Order: sequence, then structure tokens, then C-alpha cells
Amino acid sequence: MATPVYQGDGLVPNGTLTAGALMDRSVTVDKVAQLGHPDQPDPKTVGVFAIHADCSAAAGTIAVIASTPFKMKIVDVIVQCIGAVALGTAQVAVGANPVTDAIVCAVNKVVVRAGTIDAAYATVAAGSAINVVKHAAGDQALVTIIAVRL
Amino acid sequence: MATPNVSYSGGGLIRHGSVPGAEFIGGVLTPNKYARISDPGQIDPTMTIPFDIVFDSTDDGTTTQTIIASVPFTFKVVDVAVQATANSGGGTVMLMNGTNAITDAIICAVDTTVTRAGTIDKTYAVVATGAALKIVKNAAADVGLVTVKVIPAVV
Repeated sequence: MATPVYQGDGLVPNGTLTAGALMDRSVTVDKVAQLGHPDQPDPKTVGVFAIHADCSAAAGTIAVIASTPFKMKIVDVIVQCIGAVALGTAQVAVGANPVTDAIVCAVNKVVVRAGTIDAAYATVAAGSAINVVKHAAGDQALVTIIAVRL
Repeated sequence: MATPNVSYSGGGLIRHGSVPGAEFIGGVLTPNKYARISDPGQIDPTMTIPFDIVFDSTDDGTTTQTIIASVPFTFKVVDVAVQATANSGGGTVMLMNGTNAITDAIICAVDTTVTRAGTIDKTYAVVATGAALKIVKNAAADVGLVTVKVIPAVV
């Protein structure tokens, strides 16, 4: 079995975490902890990571990641509107399948979290496309997807 | 100006085998411990590791409190949650980048109630190295746990 690699997400008070205990800051496949990995302190313990994308480009569908590098599960989505567009929405989709509801993104600065996440599509296989589908091409959204590696 | 307790959570990339035990607890925040959005070394430039800044706002008689006097590296605020720890009529907490408001005045009035940011201003959401992260309260008695979710950013 390959040596497991963890990514931390615990509290870090001053003291004992030495520089040698840390990887460099780049996110690569083997640095992201896997949920359910038998070598985790507890198999339910995992670090989350974020996918953050400016989806304000003029297109109805924004390709956030063309091919996911590993299997993951989406657990939350935060949409920050950065420009007023009436009826604007942003919906996270895997391929053509919607993971979330159409999250309102209509009033500049307003932050809205996912109202629904569909378990049928929240698990994203390696090699999948993550898209953000907007109500209209002009919708202005900063999208933060919180996920865990499976 | 008072500086109540501040703690940080997560975000560090930790090498294999180091999670159990004492190595998981501890650490000094330095820029190279955090994955940054748009860093060309990322597996995908949209990917990063978020972390939380948790601030316990107590009543020190002031309405402006400093969370971090000088942030150690540039980050972007993506969410804020406020958990009121006492009743305070009309209580609010607003997150500030120096003297500029990042969020709206988040309600902090009813003990145990959690309220999230209603707005985040992209103009001030990116907090540059050396800037001060603060809160401004409606009244000194507005107390609560302020959790700021951020992502390290390349600028």
C-alpha cells in the first residue's frame, strides 16, 4: 500500500509543527487526504479543500475543471455575487448533471450558499468535468466549492 | 486597542504520517504552509486549501477589535459566520479590512444564534500582506465567536 499523505485541517496553536512536517504549498494528488483511508486517525477524518473560480466570464456555462484529478465529494458551495444581474443564478454541475440548486447571484456583494446538494451527483469521479451553469451569460459569480477527497 | 484570543484552523499541507500525535498540534503560520489559489504549482489552478480564522470577541469596552494586526500573507475572505455568545439587543459584527468593510453588519444579538455574512465586498475581500483584519461592533457588549473562512491567494 502506498504511503498515505495527509492534508491538515485541524487547529494549529503555536509550538510543535515543524517545517519538516509540512509539504510545500502546492496541491498535488498525493497531498490531499482521503476520506475513509484506513491510515487516517479516524476514517471519518479528512481535510477539506476548496475550488475557487471567478465565473463572471460572458458564457452561460463556465468550465471550472475540465478533468478532476481524483474522486471527490462536494459538501458545500458558496456564491458571492460580484455584479448585479437580475434573476442571476449559479449552479454547480458535474458534466450536465446539477449538483446544487440554482444559487441566487443577482445582487452585487450578496453571499448565498447552496440550498440543496444532490447526493446522486455530489460524488465526482476522477476525470469528470465540473461546470458552473448560469441563468444568463452575464451573471457575475465568484464560486467556492468545498469538497473532500474520496 | 484590545486583541482578544485568535486561533487558526487548518490549511497546512502536512506530509505523510504526521497527522497522529503531537505534530498535528502546533505550528507557526508562514506563507509556505498554505496552498494558494492560482499558484502554478497547484494540481489545478482553481484548487486551494481554505482555512478558518476564529476570533473570540469579548466585551473589552470597545467597538473596534483587531483580529490580526498584520496579516502574514495575502488571502481572500470567502465566508464569515458569527455565533453570538450572549444576548445583546441590536448587536452586530462587521468584518473590516483596515477601515474598509468587507461584510455587512452581521447580526450578533441572540445567544447561541449563528448568522452568516449576507454580503462580501470583492473590493476589500482580498486582504493584503501586512493589512489589519478587524471587526467593528454595534456596541462593545456584542460578543461572539467570529469564524472567517479564507483562501490564500497569489497576487
